[in-house]
Amino acid sequence: MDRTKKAILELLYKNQGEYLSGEALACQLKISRTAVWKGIRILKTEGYQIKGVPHLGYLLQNVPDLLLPAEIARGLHTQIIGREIQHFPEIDSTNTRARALAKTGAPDGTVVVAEAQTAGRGRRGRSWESPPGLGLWMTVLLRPKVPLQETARFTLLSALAVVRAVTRVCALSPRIKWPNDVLIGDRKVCGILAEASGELEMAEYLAVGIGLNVNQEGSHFSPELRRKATSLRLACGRMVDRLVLIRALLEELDGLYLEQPGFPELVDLTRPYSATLGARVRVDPVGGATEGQCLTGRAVAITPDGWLVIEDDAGRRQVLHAGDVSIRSADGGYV
Amino acid sequence: MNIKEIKELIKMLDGTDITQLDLEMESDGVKISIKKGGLATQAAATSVVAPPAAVHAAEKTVETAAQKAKEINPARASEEASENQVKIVAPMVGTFYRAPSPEAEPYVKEGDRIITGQPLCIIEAMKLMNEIESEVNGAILKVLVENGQPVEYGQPLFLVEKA
Repeated sequence: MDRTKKAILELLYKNQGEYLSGEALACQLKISRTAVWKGIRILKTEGYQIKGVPHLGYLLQNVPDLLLPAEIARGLHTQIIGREIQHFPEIDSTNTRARALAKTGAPDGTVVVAEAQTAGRGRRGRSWESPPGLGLWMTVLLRPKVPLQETARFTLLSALAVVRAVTRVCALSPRIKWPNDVLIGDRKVCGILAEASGELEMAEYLAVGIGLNVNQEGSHFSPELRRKATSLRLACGRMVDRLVLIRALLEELDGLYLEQPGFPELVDLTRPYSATLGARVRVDPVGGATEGQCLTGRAVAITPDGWLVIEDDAGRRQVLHAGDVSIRSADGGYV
Repeated sequence: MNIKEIKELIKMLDGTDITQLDLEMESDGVKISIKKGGLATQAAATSVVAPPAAVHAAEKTVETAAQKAKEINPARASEEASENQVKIVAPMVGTFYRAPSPEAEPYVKEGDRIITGQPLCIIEAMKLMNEIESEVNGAILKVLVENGQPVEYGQPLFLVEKA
């Protein structure tokens, strides 16, 4: 039925603005009139507005604002990423689902996308707000043939893809907060949570979770996020078509994934977008140390391995490979 | 020192700022001298955050090489102790976590039986959570690193009794 439904939708698109009779549909697709009727009914339940007029036929009036696989695939130019897409109206976490799919052999480039997440996850047990229909809440499953210690470059690669897609679709100038948050101005618009699994010598899979705030208004954010977060809509002053955006993102990811630039090259590619380089930063150490033990200083370099070099006020340098690095914004607070 | 060990050594030095390494194998041990240059040498030791890995990797080399020639690479070093005991080592520099999230139970505890493919811990590097799977069947004798601590490449994480 899924194939029939897609085929009907394809024909309705082709004849947009005109009525297409049930008989013509049945004839062209070599299916029964009943099958046509069933297919139309399913499309309607998915949110497509299809007008049916006796003796005239069917007319596609409106497409739902949903990230349906058939809609994403329309005009998507990718070789690996998004050749298989799973869509959920609501899910606990797209990363959790993608990892389960990975265990059952889902192919390289599989995309899991949801309208809403009920338990969207950030780093180390933090939550990620994912209200219905207002963002891109998705996970891309990758199976690069690299040892586990090289997987970190795919988080840089993903951040770069987000920056490129947002620049292309919204004409904004997003920047990267080391290593992989995307900011507009000094507010976070996108977070990336990548999880890899494998044995020491070879990564089995990599689940790159991307949470991109698209059409939220200020009131959609919880009070604690309002000062720190933004959406593309807030930044560019108009609604953004999520389908156009997700296609652009999958295409940018695909291009970079096919190239597979090495670490030094990726660092060079992302450096011009860095919000961290040159900024005053505060490093919250891992392991739950207390406030007083935070390191402050200036981010002076990113090594070819992607690590951040911080210089404290005494001129001493430290190389970081992890930890929370916050940037001091104009108002003196840290983002 | 065989080709495999030399390869391992080169791999280990990769990404550090070691510019020259002289190694003399003698009957009573190893003589080693190292020249370093560039960034990481300045990275002194305020210990708030993860330590500069390059420096540590270098120190590690000196230490193990000085001990015994055959311990030059971490993989080999990890096969020490008794026949049946193996150390599972960190495949990368990062932060060691024993559980998938702060509220969750640890993946494994001392005394737990483990099987090949079972997740043992997470190492975070640049916000990438790497779930490390066991490559052996056996039992956890000892967890060698505390939760939330930075680990170096090749650092032993678990002592395991092979089944």
